[in-house]
Amino acid sequence: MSCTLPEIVQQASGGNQAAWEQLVDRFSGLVWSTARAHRLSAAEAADAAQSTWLRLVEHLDRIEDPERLGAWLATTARRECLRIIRMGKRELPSDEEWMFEPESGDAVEARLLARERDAALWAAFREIEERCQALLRLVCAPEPPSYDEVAAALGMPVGAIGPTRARCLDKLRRQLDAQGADLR
Amino acid sequence: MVQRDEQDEALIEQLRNTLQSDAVPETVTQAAKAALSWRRIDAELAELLSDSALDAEPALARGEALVRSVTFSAGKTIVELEIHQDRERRTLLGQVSPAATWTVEVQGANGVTPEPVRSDLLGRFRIALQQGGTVRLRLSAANDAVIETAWIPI
Repeated sequence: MSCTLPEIVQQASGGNQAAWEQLVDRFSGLVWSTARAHRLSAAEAADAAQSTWLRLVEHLDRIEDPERLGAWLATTARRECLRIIRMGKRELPSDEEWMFEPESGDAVEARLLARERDAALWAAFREIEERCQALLRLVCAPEPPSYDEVAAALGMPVGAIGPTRARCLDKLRRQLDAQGADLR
Repeated sequence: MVQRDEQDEALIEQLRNTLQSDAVPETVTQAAKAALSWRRIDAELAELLSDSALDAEPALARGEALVRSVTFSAGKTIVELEIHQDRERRTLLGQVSPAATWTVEVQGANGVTPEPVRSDLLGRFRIALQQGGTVRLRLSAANDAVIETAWIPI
């Protein structure tokens, strides 16, 4: 598609379903990863995503800077996540807990463990500090988000993303070494 | 440094593959695509002014029930809501000001909505819901003014 983001936003604002679906396809990975980075369960993450998209529908005609729509969505998704966490009187994420809530019937982990290399990386990933898990989750989202978007999703300054990303990758690498894992 | 960057990118790529198993569920994408049907056509947006669930302070506890207060504004019209939660059930106690009679409808992005209620002359209304969800209020006045609030999870 040759349309620019502001054009697509404008078309969606006018009720163009195809334009809207382009927006969803482009940013749904970012919104979902933001929710998961806040350690919401699959059901809570679905609620946060829905609230985020409804919020965008609400504000389609008043998005000030459509070029930065991704960052707007990430900020909105983060706020929805914090609201859901507070509504549920849940503890804010602590470092001890795993970022995905264990759920019966959640086949994610089973699928992951199906492949040995994935299993090694997964095992190392869940050992590193939670801040790093959240950041790397965002960085690895489909349609890789910009640093601007990652910063908005995590409530971090943009300037901190690059150095933190490098530090977190080092931690992951050290963890893999400690496990004696060889990814090659 | 270049080599370091390449190593980082390779590790990111492997992690991306590993995390792919937690892709966006199809139902979530479908719900997002359907959300455009909730576009405001004829109504003025009542923006969220405050929501105690967004405050850093913990929600007020009154007895056993947890009370959450939410305020919306559309121009001079203010909609105040108290949301009482009792297990799955939610009771919304509302107040529109300036006082007038409004017809108030709860719209739920997940479907089921109760019958609209009318506020009293002071603008007060009460709505009982069997369960929570993501909802907004649509308020219609006798003079054809229509307001829709921002969506909130309840």
